[in-house]
Amino acid sequence: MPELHIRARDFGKHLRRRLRQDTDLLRNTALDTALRGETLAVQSTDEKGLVDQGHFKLSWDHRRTHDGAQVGNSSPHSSVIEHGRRPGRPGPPLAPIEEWVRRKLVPEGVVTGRDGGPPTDADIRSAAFAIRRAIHIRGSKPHLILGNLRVKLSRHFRTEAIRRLKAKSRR
Amino acid sequence: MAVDPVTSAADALAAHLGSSVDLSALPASFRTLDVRTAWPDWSEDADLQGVLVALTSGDPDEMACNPIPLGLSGDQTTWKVANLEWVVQVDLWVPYRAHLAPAMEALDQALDNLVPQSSGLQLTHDDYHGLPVHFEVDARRVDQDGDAAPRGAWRGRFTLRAQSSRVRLTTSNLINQLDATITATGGASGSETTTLVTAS
Repeated sequence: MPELHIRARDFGKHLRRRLRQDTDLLRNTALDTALRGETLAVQSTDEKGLVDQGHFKLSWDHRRTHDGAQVGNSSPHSSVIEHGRRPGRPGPPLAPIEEWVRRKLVPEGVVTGRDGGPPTDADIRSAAFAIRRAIHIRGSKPHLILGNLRVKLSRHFRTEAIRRLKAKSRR
Repeated sequence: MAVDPVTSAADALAAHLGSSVDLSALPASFRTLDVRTAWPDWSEDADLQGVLVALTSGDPDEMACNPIPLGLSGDQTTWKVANLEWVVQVDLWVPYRAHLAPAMEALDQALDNLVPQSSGLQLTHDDYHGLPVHFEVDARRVDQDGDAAPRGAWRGRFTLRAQSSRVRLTTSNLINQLDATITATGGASGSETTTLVTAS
């Protein structure tokens, strides 16, 4: 068992140094936990089929903060995906839906012109309106991607912090 | 009939909120409370006449533990096999901004039935072996939504952390009773009867 002898007059200095080291260790553990959270969030986004162009998936990020670390998603519609939109609320803006119809539904032949040929701008706009209306009526359920991770990450942080503090004490 | 613990917990929470949320701070004609255990479906009428509350349960995080016997009923033993923890989002909608704060306060009050011994909400699973389930408020938030006023739907949100257990039922034998009867008569030449009974 290693021993450490501290003189009484140095005790305060030693304690402050020890607390500073432990705080740094915990901040690093928090950063690692946030990185793990980002990885799991990206994985969960894939599993829940929430990927179209990948904007939402690529917007997951983690960073250090003054008191630890955070993980989050910076895309503008992340709140709606996470917490949901009540039925009967206005649908999302039309322009991105029109883009999606052009990109996805037109090549797949889901949206065509009236004679079965290539759709006009008016046809595409009309399809986008119908989709927007469906979203307006149905709303969207919360996906709770971060919510589900919260429990897992709290436990990971607790376990990892205790493990690292114990390992440091043994050194 | 036992259902899964997450569904059972949502049912217990909905029943508790339905009977415990005190909306007396709202005007009399807006004191109706509609609690739903799932996100409002588009085919259902979700018009706001009073307070609408919807519960959304997340996926449970399961931590296996060594089986712990919780009880015996007939020839079946109930074993706790895992600790469960999951998130529950409680959404609240009211038709007017002035109703939001009192409605959230009423909901907040109903989400704590353990003060002063502790804090949080302790309920019992009606449909899951009568086990306890504990809820703790993690976050409260009011949505600052631009279209709340024109749509007449002001939203507040609570995030709860729920904890319960997963159990398994087995019919394996377990000693639940040990009776011993000792009869001794006479001196050195007496007789002795010892009965040990193990049941189920």
